[in-house]
Amino acid sequence: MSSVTTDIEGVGMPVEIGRIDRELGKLWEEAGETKTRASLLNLVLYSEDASAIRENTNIIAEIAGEHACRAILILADPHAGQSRARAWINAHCHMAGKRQICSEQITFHLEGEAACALPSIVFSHLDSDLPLCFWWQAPFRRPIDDVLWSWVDRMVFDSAQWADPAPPLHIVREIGALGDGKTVLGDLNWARILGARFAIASLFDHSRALENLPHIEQVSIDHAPGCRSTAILLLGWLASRLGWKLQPMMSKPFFLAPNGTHVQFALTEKAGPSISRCSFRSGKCEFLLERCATRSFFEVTVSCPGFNEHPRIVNAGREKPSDLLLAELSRGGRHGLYREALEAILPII
Amino acid sequence: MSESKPANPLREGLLNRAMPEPCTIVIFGATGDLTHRKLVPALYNLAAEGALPQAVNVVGFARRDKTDEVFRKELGEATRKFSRQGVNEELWEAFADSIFYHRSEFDNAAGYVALAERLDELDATRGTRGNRLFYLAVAPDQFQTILHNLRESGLNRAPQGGWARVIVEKPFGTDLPSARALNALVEGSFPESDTYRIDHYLGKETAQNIMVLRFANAIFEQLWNARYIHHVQITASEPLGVEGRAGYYDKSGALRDMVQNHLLQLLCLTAMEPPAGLDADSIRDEKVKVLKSLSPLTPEMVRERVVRAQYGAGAINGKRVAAYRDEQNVNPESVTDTYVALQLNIDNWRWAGVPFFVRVGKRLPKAATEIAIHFKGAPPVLFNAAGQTLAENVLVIRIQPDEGISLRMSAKVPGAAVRVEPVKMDFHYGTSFGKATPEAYERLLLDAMSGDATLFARRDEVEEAWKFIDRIREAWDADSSDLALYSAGSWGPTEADELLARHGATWRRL
Repeated sequence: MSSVTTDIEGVGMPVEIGRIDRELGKLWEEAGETKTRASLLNLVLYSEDASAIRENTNIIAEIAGEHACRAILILADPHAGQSRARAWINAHCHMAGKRQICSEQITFHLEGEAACALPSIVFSHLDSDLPLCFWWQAPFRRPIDDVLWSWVDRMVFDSAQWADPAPPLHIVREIGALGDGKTVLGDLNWARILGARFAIASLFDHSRALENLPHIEQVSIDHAPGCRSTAILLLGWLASRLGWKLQPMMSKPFFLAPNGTHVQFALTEKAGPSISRCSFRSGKCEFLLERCATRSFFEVTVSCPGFNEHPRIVNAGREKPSDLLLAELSRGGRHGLYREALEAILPII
Repeated sequence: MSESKPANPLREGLLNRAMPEPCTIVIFGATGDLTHRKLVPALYNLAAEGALPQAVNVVGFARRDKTDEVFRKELGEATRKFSRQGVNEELWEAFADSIFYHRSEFDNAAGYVALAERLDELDATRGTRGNRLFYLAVAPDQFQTILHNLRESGLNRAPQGGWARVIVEKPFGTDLPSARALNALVEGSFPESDTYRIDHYLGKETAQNIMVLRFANAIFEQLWNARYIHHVQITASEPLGVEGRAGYYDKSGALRDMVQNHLLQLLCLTAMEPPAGLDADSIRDEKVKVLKSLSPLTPEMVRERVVRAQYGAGAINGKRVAAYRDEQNVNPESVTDTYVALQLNIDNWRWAGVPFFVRVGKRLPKAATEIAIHFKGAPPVLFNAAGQTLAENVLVIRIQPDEGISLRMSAKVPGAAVRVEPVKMDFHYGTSFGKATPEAYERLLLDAMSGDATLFARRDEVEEAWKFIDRIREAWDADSSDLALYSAGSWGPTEADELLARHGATWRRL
């Protein structure tokens, strides 16, 4: 027996696909008064990586503690020789006072042609009247399934996983524009830089520091290997907030600030957390945030003639996939700033 | 509840609300229970969630002699015990660096001068820009001394470009004259716009949710009037006795301790008209209109519509408990009310003829605060025909514990016969939103730092509430013979049941 089969079969109780609702009902009947089913959300995780089953189940278990949901975990293998669809059910419970609060998980393994029937599998197992959040963990491909995506309220993805971000980003933006553009794009890479955004913003809270913001001339960001897109997104956020316009045609691209200042930038790969260091130079002032791999905080310091703040620490946020998804679900919103950040750095993605 | 664009453009969109400006919070009564159990854990949780600006100092002002280090250590222990989300040691260490202790007697003018110097120094070294929030976490008899000295030392006036605000803990007086005197006293040092009267009930998520329930859901507001509602019950019960507060409670009683503030606030949120906006004054204007519309009670009406009682000996959770008069530090002949039930009427178009029943009591079987909207019954035809009386629909907003909302309705029992029974649709905050609910003090401290007074009582609210309550007190003072007794562990005196029976209703079984 392969480890993939073991993983998926260990995920819950096997059920016939046509009997899922009935079997779930029985699960709760048997639990009697001891367990309460709760659901505020349909959460679908789609993957084509068989080894992701266990991690995705763990992610759902962690999410369910804060966001009661009906979770639908789909492992698809569109290239399998045979067409087959199988399902398992299980529940994730946690104590809330004297009660156990539970979320349901339905796991599907879709092989061959069955994997092409994704919308019907998803639509027929949603908890009615609840929003649909869909985390797409596979490569984005054309043609876009607009039947599926137009139903999705929040599409989650992680742009840091993309080796070549430009093509999938185009697809994602098209999905975001489907219908009336009601689908919210939830890039976990955006959630990943939340701590850094907080820390950078805090550098400029003081009025003396704020005076320097329009005069920044140099931005340097150190990022982990494989996290260049995270650093670029951070740069995009800065540019969109401060009105910098990218000048991509130059031999060395730079940003042009509204007051005409040329803002140079440098991205350096360095082992450690996704963003380990950001520095900003404005005249004789330097604004710095640093984080070492073992700490969950940024240390922020300001060095400016006649104005020195005490070094402070600011929560850097966590980077586990479940933490990023929690951040995405908890903050909600349409991420207008994300779209603006993307627009600001599209030419260098 | 209002929002503004932040001065720092990088702050935009980071929080769902505006970040407060840097400031120093000075807590008078820093060695007390409130500081240790509520205020500092709340500030720590705000810091941990990144909701505080980079520069926030906490200065404890109290009489006992201790160093900054000792004060920080004590608060660290308290925060580890009382913080709703535990403590991250690294973050606590960083937060503790912003905590300072200032020893002084409350009546020592030199202590305030030294405080002013210390605050100036903190402004210079830690970037708090002269913004000060004074928290009076002391007994009301200290207010005058502290406010006088704040004024004399100039601390009530913010340096240019900054602000100085004061948070006053309840009770806001003991009657209308004392409330007016207190308000005048506070106003002598701080303008109304910088005065924040804290009623922690308003900081509770469910209390805030009353407006969302009413004004964000189209289905309820259509029914929210005398045409569809039979009566409203507001209950605040607790199994606790006076628990070491006898000195205060024996003078205050349930009416002053709970009804004048918490319960009338809940009543206002339940009964008010939709405000013109979500800003502080629009909401408080509507609440004041409700208080002004309360039908004033004559002494005869007080006898008829207000039940006061005191607990006798009994049992709570199977454990014997003493009668109120046998509690430590209680006058053995005390006529203090530990239970009050009253019928209120709101004389306006929306509520004409709808009684609001309010009850509050100590040593009742369980702790529960809730608002129950009892709708009128279905017409007496079909399933509700003679002899088939159905339970009416009841919408319950549970404030604490187990915050949530439930709706009772009628449903057919499965089977060949047509049998209709009540069923309950139940929403529990704890079940649906697993995240720990922020403590009321977190929200309220953040609001005061941000200058948002929506969840704080305005002067006229407090005074209107006292005006209503004083009529009851005056009637009671003239005749104390109506004090009923109830056994500890019961749901109160039978007189309270009669209050509802006259309207064909019964108190909800909680």
